[in-house]
Amino acid sequence: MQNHFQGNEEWLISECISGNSKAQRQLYEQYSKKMYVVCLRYSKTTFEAEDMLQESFIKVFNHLQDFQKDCPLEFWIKRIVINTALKHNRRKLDKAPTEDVTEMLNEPSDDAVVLSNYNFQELLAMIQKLAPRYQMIFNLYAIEGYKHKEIADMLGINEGTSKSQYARAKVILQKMLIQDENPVYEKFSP
Amino acid sequence: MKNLVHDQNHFEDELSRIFDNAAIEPSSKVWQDIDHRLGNKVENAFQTAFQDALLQPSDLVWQNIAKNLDAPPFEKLLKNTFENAELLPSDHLWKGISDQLDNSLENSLQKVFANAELEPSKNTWKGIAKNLDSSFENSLQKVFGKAELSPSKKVWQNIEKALLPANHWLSATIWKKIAVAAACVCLMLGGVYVFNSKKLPTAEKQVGKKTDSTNVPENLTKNSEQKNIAKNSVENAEILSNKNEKTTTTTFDNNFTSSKSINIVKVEKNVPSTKNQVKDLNAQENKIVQPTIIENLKLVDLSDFQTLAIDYNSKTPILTLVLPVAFQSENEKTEYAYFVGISGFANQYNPNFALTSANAYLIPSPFLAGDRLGDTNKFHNSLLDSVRNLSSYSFGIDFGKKLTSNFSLQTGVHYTASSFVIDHIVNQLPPKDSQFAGFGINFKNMVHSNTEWLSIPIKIVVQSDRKGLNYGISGGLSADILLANTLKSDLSFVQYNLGANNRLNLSANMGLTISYPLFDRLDIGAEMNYRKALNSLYQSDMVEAKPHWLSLGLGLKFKL
Repeated sequence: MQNHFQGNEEWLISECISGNSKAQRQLYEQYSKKMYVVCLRYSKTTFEAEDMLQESFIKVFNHLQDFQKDCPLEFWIKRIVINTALKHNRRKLDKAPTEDVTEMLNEPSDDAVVLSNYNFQELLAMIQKLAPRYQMIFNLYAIEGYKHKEIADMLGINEGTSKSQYARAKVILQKMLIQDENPVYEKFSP
Repeated sequence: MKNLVHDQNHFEDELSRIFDNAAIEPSSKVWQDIDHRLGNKVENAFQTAFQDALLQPSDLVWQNIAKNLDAPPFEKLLKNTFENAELLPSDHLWKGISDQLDNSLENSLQKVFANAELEPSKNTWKGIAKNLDSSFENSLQKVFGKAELSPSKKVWQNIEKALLPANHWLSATIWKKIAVAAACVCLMLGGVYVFNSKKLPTAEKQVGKKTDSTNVPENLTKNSEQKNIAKNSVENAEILSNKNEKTTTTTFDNNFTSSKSINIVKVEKNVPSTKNQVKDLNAQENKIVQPTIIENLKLVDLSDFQTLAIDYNSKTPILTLVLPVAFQSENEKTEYAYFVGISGFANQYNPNFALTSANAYLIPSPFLAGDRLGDTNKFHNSLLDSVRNLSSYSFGIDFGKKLTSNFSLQTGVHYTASSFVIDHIVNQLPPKDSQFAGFGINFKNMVHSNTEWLSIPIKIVVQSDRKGLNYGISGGLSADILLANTLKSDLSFVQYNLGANNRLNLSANMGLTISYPLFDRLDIGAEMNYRKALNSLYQSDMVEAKPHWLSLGLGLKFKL
């Protein structure tokens, strides 16, 4: 097994396990900002995201002794954050109405949109506008890089459903991007 | 011909018209016949005959009627009959129903569609594949790859709060419990320390002295009062009215020789007048003055003797009480109506002597028993001012019943042991025929008192009824059985007697309690209480002692 840890981080982990609050704070400071963005991607509000982040880090500190060091600590923490986010979203999915995804087949996609023109806050705001299921699948596939098979297993859906819903989410997002690039000034245009 | 036919029809019509409304009165004979036939004489006769006709039906008829009258109405019978009527339908009918209920069709359909997959059309896949193009995802991953935002400070605060129990090998709850227990112990130890620090300066500490190499301390003095005693005998002892009178000091004025050897203690006039001086002296005085006996006396040069001066005025009586524990915190589960507990206390004890008769002030003291004794610092003063090392402890078991959520009744059995020391300087006079007649020798003596009680308190406890830490106050009475009360003198030739003891005593008590639930049915608690005897320990008309105790204790209470 490859050990991904050297020096300071190894010490940091052991100190966190032994309950050193300063070390825990340091670990939190080190990863909380990135993980907060992850939480924001899976949530609709900052309040919800902070709730996820808080729950995630409590899990991290309570289970740090189970960390096998077979991957970078950041990945391990991110996995916990994502699992926590999915758990939060599953509650919402139970209540959310299902959508007909067949219509997406006729939706055009526009690859002309250049994402590099956007900062992540703008994209984040768009992702947050997606329906919960789309938001989850979109995040998992497009940003986290999971395979559709893995997403299907994680969410308990068919792989085809994952693919089609992702495609739908992508179309919606691209529409938002296009709309953002070409805003329609209905009232104030000359 | 035609006219003939017409005439004939006319004739028929005319006939019809004539006979249609034709009416002829029948003959009277016919009417008579009809009347005769319609006459109801026979019927009337029958009616008359049967109008009031009665015939008793046969017994059988009557039995049938009665039977039908007792039976339920016909409709009811029918209803009862059909209400629970069941008839198994014919097999044929059942088969028809069964066929209708069979869901084999649905099952088949479910099976068919359960794993049904259809490859979407090429166009569909094309659209999907287009959307699945990874360049978009790669761009997004780059955008979000290093994205960072700071969450609010509240997040870490909440995490830190949530992690608090995990940072300790014990949970916060247990930690709190231990903290409370530790606080109770500290409170008790602190209290004992404070009380003990108030101990009065001892006689030997008050005496500034220099000892020679033999170091057998003796206080050999002569004063005018003693001289007076020597000359005029004990019978002429005077009654002193001033309880605070200090020992006067006099220097022996000439050589004093004896066949016995005497170790000399030089007593200087340096009487500590301030607290600082007392402290200095205390620091110098590490050696304990040994009790002296006459046989060890050597001849001394009385001119070397200086002053023995003791100031007892600085003494402050310290008092206390012992109370059975009142760990009255009843926890939130009111179903535990009873409890049993154990408790232990460290007490500050004060015998609280008071002189109740002028005879108590006699010199030598009426409380002394021995041969040729004087009373240098007057034992009655010692009783009031020279009592020290007032230590006491008690322990016992408690029983209680919760009357309401806030009131409890508590009793128990407690053993209390108390002790103290009375410093006293006793003066022994030489035999009358001795050449040293008139010169008394002072001996520092300590009288050790040990008292043991068995107390049965009964008290009411009023306390909070909250989850967690509870506070309460208690008050009640206690029956105190005196098990032992001894006064033991260091000097064997002098005995002290304050009178007969009262075996059964009564005391009042009040206290403050705190308690904390360690577990569901086990509470730990601390109590500070005060107990005061309501009657004197001694059956004496010269002295009384109504002791009191101030106690700090810990205990456990198990709820039943």
